[in-house]
Amino acid sequence: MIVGHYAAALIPRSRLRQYPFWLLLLCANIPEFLWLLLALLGIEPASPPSIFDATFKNLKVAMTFSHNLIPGVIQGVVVAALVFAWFRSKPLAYWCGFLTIFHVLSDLVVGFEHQLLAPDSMPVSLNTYGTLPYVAFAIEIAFSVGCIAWYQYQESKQGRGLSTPRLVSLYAVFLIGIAIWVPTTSVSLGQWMQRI
Amino acid sequence: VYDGIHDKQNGAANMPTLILGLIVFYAICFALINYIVTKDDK
Repeated sequence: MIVGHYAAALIPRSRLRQYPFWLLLLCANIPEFLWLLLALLGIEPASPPSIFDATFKNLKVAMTFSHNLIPGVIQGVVVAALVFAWFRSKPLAYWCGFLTIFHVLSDLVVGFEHQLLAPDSMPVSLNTYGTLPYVAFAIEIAFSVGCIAWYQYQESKQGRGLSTPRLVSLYAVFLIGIAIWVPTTSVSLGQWMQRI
Repeated sequence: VYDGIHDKQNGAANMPTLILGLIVFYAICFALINYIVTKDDK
């Protein structure tokens, strides 16, 4: 998943309103931020490295430390421990740890190939970006819409339902944020620019 | 206009623009979602 990961932060938002929402957003995307850092350091490189050459079908990514299953679980435990040390709240710590692990779990369904631990260990993902990218995008959209609907339902129950403009804005960020990547499924940005 | 061959010759294709682009994309989405959700928080 790409922007859809942020939608997971909406699931516990209503019951954790006393804590900063940015923390939930951050924890829902910790493995991705770790990968971006490791990619910049050359530890988990992406090939091709240019945004003008990469497509979902030709992109080869190494995500051993950031997205493989066991490293993902370790990240979740570390995140939960850090959040508990900072906020002294078990529910918040559990949710933050869960959101971090859930990121890796959801990428097993909507994402590239990931393994259990080392790069040569058992593959545990469906590699839908490589085999069924449009199905992957559809699942991400459905997940994001479901999370927003759940958030709206929870807020409405407490008399704080989102106004129509806010709801439309929220749906738009996720739908546009996912749809923007669809043209680069098998045709790179550079190839699109050459065609235009 | 993008010139893949020329860019590769001058090394531009080796710039990690994909990662840099993703960082910008995630930052914008983070800011927008956080703003929309917390807009009415007191």
